Amino acid sequence: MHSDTNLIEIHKTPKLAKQAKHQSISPAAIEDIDAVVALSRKYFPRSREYSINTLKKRTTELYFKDGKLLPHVSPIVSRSGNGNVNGFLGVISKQFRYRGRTITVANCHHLMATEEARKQLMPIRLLQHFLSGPQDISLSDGSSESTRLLWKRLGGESVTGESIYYKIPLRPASFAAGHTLKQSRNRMSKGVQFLASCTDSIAGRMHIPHFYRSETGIRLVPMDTELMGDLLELMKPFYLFFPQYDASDIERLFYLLDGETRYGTLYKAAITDPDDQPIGWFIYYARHKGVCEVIQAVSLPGRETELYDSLARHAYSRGGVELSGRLMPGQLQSPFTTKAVSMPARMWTLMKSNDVELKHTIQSGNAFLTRLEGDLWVL
Amino acid sequence: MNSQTPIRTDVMSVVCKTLTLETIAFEEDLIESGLLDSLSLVQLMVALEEEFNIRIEPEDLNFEDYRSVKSMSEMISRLSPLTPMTIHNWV
Repeated sequence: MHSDTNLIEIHKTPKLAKQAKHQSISPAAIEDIDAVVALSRKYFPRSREYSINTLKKRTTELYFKDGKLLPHVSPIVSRSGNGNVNGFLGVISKQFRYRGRTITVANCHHLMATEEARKQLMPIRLLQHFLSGPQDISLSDGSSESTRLLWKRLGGESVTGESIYYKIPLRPASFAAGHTLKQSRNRMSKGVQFLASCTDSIAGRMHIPHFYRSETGIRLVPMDTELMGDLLELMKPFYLFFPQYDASDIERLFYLLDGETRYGTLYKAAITDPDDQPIGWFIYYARHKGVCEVIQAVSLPGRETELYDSLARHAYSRGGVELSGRLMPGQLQSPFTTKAVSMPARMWTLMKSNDVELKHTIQSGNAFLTRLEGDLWVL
Repeated sequence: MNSQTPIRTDVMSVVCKTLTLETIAFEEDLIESGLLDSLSLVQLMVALEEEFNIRIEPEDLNFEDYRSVKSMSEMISRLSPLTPMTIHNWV
């Protein structure tokens, strides 16, 4: 394991040794938040949708508690010779249970480096540093193709079954118009979008299939911390590898989700059948006339269609044009795929562990990996 | 003639092809000159593995080995070519 202020490599020539002294990777400190936020605003355009102060607050809340790093494995920064932060890798750790054992999972995200740091190979150095940490398993959720290449070269692998994203039209004409005219902002495109919206509206009123979402008979129950805890317990027996949540974890995650404003309005609900027996739950952001981004849609095995129907109807009634989210392996043969128009592996779930059995468990879809611990709503 | 000369020539050729360079000096620092970034490093590693029939294990990865054609040549001469059996094992 690397020490807190380790140098990156032992170099061979005096020139290189000199450079090594001036490049270091260490756990992020609360004093680094300003620099991390500046990097984020530069390299992740969506973070500019937050004010600097909001971004600082959210970054601090995500990684620190009372000014100290949250336990287990921490986010890391790289520094140039003058001590300035020139690279960052966000890390959140989580305890899982696996065959009676507690497993530490470290989930990394937001790999960033300045141009100067890139010339010093800082992205791959940061990843290498992270992957050699004390965690039992390293994960990355929603990674780009470039990160996947680096990750694989460092001994990791991609989890294809966890890297499938669905895109389901809720209002087909608006969906098609929106994707066709994505780059176009002229008057004609607005006209086409207006016509598409009218088509969806009329077809919906006429109850034309694909344009209309009928009543499902499924009940929705507003989600709170206690209910979420109960639902997670309900789901636990169906997975070999399952995260450990207590009430304060769930409360904190809900707090973070509630604080996200860029993806629309947050909805979280449990779904039950007419006999009040739980089926599952969904958590998503709805944007009127836009994308409904699903954070979690989970059901008991065999109840995926009911989950899908209730989620699609809920999102449709909030004015959503499209449902988008990451497929869970149990949803492969469900409306989440049959109704989807494209399922590109645009973002990768990556994994590295020395435990072959554990890796097999994850690759075979027996792990409960969700986007709750992911990076969708942070930075 | 140095025994590394054929390796050097081949490494130089792989580096130029991968980084789309016309020519490069034997000791030119690819990192310092900004010619190599993390992604092109990975591409270079793959190209070297293919060209020299070697396997660079993640735990053996030392970025300094990729600083110049010289250091890459030295690294390759340290690594044994894979036998058909070893290739079979990791394919």
